[in-house]
Amino acid sequence: MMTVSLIGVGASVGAITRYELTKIIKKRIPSYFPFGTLIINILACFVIGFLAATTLESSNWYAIMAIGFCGGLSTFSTMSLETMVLLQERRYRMAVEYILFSLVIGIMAVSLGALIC
Amino acid sequence: MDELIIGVFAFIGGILRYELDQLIPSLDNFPIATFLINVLGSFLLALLTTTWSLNERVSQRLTLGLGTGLIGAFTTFSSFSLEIFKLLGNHHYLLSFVYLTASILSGIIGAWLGIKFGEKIYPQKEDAK
Repeated sequence: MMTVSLIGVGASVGAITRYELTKIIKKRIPSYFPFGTLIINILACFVIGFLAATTLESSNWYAIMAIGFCGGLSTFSTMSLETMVLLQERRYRMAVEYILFSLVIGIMAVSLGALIC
Repeated sequence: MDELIIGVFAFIGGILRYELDQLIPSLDNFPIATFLINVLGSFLLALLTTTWSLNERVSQRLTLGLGTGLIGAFTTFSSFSLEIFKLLGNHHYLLSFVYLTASILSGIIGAWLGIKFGEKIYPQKEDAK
């Protein structure tokens, strides 16, 4: 019960952070390319990589930060929808770049987070 | 106020993801739970965007809470990437490739189905002409 509540709190803070960061990034970098989600997902990947390497998966800290915060901060559904919208607008190259950047930089960010400690 | 709504819905979305993750075991190292969560979330977000989000009678706050909060916190890119990283670390190269490709393609197809289904059950005014 305790763990579940911690995950919920982490996810709340993560999602609010995503909402605020998306607004800021959209204002700073106005583009059809979904920089907001890309940057946020990469950031969450870095943090979860660091946590996976430094904390026990059974710990409360892992629950609130990795499962909760990183899970709430990052999003897969928005990425899928943004890609579909780019495809519908016939921005095929941008859609492919978006997916490739998300995957390659995302997995690199996890590795970097895991390796810096 | 928007932040509060997003926070409350994300609380539920995060817990739903955790509970489903506990409920569905990985099959031969394949992270089925995250896969299903991400595909279902992609479908639901696209459905929401083409239906309630366009309906003036549905509160904008509610759709923001459901979309950005609940579905956004329900799906996850960080766990997805971490799982691929772990699969690669355990030399499950083929499996990590299958997981990655299946997730991305199913996510996009899920979003497409959500849009098509949404347009069918909630036709926009331009289309009705």
